[in-house]
Amino acid sequence: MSLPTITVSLGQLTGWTLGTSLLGTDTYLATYEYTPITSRVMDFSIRRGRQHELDRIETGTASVTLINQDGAVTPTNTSSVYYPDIRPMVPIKIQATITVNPAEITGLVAWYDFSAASTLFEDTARTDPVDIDTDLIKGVTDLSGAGHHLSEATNPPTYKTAIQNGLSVARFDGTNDELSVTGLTAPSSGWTWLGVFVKVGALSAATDTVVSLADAAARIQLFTDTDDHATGMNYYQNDAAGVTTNVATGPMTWGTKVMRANSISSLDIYTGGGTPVNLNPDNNVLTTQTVIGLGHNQNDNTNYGDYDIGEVLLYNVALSATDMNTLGNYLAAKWNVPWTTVT
Amino acid sequence: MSTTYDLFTGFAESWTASWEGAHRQGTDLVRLQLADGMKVLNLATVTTTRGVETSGVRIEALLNAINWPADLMDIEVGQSQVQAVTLDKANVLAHIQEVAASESGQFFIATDGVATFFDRFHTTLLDETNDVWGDEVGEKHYASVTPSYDDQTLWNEVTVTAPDLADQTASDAISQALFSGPVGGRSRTLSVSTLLTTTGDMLDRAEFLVSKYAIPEQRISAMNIDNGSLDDTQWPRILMKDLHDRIIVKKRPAGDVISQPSFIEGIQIDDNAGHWRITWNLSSTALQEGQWELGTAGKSELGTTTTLVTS
Repeated sequence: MSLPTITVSLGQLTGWTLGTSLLGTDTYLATYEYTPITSRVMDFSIRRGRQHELDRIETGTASVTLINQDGAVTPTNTSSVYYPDIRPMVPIKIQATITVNPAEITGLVAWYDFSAASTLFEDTARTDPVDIDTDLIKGVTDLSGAGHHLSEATNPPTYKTAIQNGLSVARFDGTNDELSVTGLTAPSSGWTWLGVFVKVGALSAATDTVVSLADAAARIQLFTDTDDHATGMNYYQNDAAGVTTNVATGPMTWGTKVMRANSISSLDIYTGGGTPVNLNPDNNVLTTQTVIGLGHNQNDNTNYGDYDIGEVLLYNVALSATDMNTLGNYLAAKWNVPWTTVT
Repeated sequence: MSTTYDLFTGFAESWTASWEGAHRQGTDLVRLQLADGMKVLNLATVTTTRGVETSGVRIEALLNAINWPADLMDIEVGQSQVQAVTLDKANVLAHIQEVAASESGQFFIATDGVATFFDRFHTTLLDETNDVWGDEVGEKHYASVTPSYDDQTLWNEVTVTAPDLADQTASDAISQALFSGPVGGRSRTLSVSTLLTTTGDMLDRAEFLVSKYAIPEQRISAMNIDNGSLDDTQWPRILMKDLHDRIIVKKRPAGDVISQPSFIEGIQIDDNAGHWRITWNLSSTALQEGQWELGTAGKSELGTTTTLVTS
């Protein structure tokens, strides 16, 4: 059990001058900068709202017990770093932080977060970070630490700000936009791919690919295509039994899709967690994981898909239900998308 | 990757020192007491004249009058008109609460310090994937629920008052006969003070309240969470919650299934040396007006926000 980390912060005035600034006008909550005093918190409690729906909502209250061996929160201690802000009516914030680091889950080999602008670049050498909406994303840093950075020099996707839950995404146009990386090592026993995305345009007869995982000759591919296939998302493995339809639902709304290869012939596909669609391809699903292609069919450079992609993770292991739930809830909170517990 | 949630934003009321143990050998502690922005509103007075206007417009006008920062306001316009008023050094919080009661809405300071007003038709969508709390596999687990089925909030006569307008009363004779014991026909009266502008609105309010509170119903009035009952994946769904957020609580006692779509009315959090205990006071969404609309997402999903009844 990892408990949330509590931060209690003290609001200290900024840009305010005694005798000059106007109380009630120049100073207020919004003009304070908060300084954590967390290291001295022993316990806290909070009471907000009301007991019954017909009651009036009264003033919310909280209490915090602070350890004060050094006297830093003694109001009259002029040598305290908090002086003179240890006083009544100083603003205080209590916050809780949950830390989920996908890299701490064993097996992460690629992690692309299109909400992290500092990891997105306007050049394939990854020296010029994106600045504004509509910048082109030609390079993406792999946050896994494995060095599998994405790139595309000619037809990259577009950086779009404030798209989902206030976060930026990569927009693939469905015409020729793509990002890819080669050189991954094929996993030996399983793998798990997680992606948060939405289809931008209407479903159509075109084969619109969100991701292909491939080697030089073969691939698996997650896509939509209303012409030959169903209205949901479909799975294709070109060295196996071809297309399996309706393996995932909801590409028209933001959500998390997960593909988990359990063995060479067992693959689970999850739409926002819950119960998977299980496939049993008749060829090895483990051998094609040396190339990641986003927004297109990596083998043939065809089947471009119009998608907004928020975040993608690839593990070279079949993740446990616990790990999938940890990641699914992390993505759900971050991107405001559903996640049903996988059991 | 970390996600931070505001739990409370307010102001220090007191810093009370205590010294435990022998001199220079014990523990020096300071107990910090806090109050949220409601305290600021309770300290503020306002002198102004306002005409007839909707509840939210009135509340926003008062907040503006005392220089409450615009970026710390989230005020809905409101459904009900409130009476014109001349305020002379009037307590701001008291008037806002009276206006909110007239609307049958909610006024509160959110976890991030934002003064928030929801009118009575405010819709908080249920995330039926992530916010079903129960005792079966696949549901988020609580430590316990507090059921209630009693006469503490049984009201079979409701009188709504407003200045310069005739009191409006609605009653339920069947309830009065059922719940008065051998003496029969006695009322349990709830009085609601408002600033509504018409007797029609007042009567509607009285009739609505009687329809909801004349017959006691089994309800879950609180849900208790203990970190011993949690797995790590549940924390985001707990810490992101604020007042009036919506959840479903399920309990399966022998021979029954209680499933209550609920609003969070109150939040209590205690953390003592890493032992977290959280209590959400709950109300049934059926007790709020405007929570069912045909064909509207979040208001008419069969089995979730809507129960099909045949007769």
